[in-house]
Amino acid sequence: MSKSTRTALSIVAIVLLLGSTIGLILTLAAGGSGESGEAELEVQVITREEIVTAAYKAYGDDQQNLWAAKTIVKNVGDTPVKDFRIDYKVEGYCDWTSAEVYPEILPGQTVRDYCWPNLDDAKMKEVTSKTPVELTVRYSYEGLSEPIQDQEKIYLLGRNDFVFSNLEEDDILTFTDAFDNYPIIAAFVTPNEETVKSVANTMAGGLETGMNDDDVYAAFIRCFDGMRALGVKYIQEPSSYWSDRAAQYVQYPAETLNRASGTCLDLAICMAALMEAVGIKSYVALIPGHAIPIIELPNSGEWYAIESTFIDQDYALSHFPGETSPEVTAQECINMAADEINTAMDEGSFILIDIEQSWEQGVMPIW
Amino acid sequence: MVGRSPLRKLIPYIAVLALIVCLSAYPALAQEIGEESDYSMQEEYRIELGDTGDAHITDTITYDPAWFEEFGYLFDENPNLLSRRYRADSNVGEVENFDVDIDSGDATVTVTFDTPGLAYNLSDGWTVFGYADYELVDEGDDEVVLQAAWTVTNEFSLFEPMGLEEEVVIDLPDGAQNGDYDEATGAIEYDLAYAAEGEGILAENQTLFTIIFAVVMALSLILLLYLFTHRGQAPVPVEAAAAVPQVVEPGVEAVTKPKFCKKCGYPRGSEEELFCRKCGAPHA
Repeated sequence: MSKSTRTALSIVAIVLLLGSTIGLILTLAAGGSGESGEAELEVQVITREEIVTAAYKAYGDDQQNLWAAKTIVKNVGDTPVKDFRIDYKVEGYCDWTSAEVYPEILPGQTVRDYCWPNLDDAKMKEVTSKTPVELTVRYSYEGLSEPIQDQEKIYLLGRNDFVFSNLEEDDILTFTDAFDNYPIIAAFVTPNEETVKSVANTMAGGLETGMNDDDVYAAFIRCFDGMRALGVKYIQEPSSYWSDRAAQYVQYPAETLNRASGTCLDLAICMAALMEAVGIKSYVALIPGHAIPIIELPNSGEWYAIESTFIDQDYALSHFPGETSPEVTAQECINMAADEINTAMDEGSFILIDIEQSWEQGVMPIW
Repeated sequence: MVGRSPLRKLIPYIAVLALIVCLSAYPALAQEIGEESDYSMQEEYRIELGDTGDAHITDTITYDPAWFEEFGYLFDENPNLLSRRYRADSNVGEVENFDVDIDSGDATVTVTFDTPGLAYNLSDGWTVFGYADYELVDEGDDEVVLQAAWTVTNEFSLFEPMGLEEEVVIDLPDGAQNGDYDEATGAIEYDLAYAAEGEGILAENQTLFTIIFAVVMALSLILLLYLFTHRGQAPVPVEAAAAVPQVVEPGVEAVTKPKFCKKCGYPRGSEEELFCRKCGAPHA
């Protein structure tokens, strides 16, 4: 073997020795930190500030963005977390729910998990004022001896409480913004409630309210006149002492009929419920400081609104003298409502709540 | 039905009108634009996914230049308008590093933000949810491209109903495979092998690599030992050289000059060497 060959072989052998030594060290080190490290999770539970009790069913629908709680789990360790399990409970209102299993959470990975509680029907209907409840988050993972539980406070609004908007004051730029939660109004429209059904059937008796435009229009007039006959009065809304935001105590239609009184919004909701109870498509329009019920005729597609506060004849005559005949007829109230809505539309201050569409989108009536 | 006065056709939105009126910006103009817009928007919603499911979103909306010239100033004058939905409490943990860029020259609004954990690591791969009702344009290992057309009425259209052509581009992480759009569930799925950070293939095949490196180390050691221990025998030994028979071609006189010192037998360096390097005796 020549000297040059021996030198070359020596260099190759030294390089191989160094390379294999480094490789062996790295291999052993890689295995060591990858599998035997400690699992380390950062878990943050975020709860919704309030649950709108009137629309409680929507919180159980995972197609809506109305989760009751959200848990953000981040693996900040250097080893995967296996078999992560999580579920939630709303003490007294919903047993363990929204259970999920995440087979593996890798180092650096974040998981966002949501609570969609199916809140107890009977108990939610009993919530008459803002009520704090305990929401519990329970989670476990491989290697943990027993599940970890976190408790968070969450507030149920009273079943009649409606907060107009969740936007911050600085973010309210339009009329619509001030009523950002308007689709929830549809939850107060309860056509299947027993009192509503009974009154609606009586008022619309003998009319073809599903297909005949004239009969639908007649039912609208009868409803207005029928509520007047029941002695329903218009009242100003009480202050919403339970909330620091723009809010209102909203009556369900049965309450309006039983109490024979309501605000403009209560009366509009009540008329919409009575119309829906006999199959007439209805809407509620919001304009500045006011709410007005609207129906849509099934064939022509024409829309009719009515000034429902003028059900209270005394109120109409005392506060709007000369604007109507002494009888304050339904027809006059229809014309007046049309003017009000057209003006509001021209001013850009108008919201139309499509009741049936809101129901379809998950804001189901409480009754 | 005499005397009935139906409402004029209702629209469930009040268009740019509402914003302009409420902001007292340009009421005269508002009267002209109460109808549904003839303009449309194009949107590219690009999702760049990292290897642990985190996403960087770049949402670029391109407006009709004429519309943007007329109304784009409202975005500048009301910075909260485009950000307020992203800042909502419900977005805590879902929108981070939010930013908006309004480019009047290109009539574009670009929204960027990060969403940790956009993709979920499930037992059969990674999944991004929430893309129902899209049409698949392309799917592969690098990206999945979807498209859809909508009519939107929101902050970006200034509450005016406006057509929107949307393209969603999901840039899959490096090393992803089998990118796939499931039309039934509206989910984007892909495979991505897990490699512990900074360790990779070594950690996954620890036993194999330990054996390989150990064998290579042993062999290189043996080779080195051999080379060092046999260093002195490398020159041609005297005895061996002396034993080599002289090959003489027929007809050619053999070389008669001695190759070793006649006195001490030490090998002669070359034919030109006149004296022995060991004993000094002349070779002649």
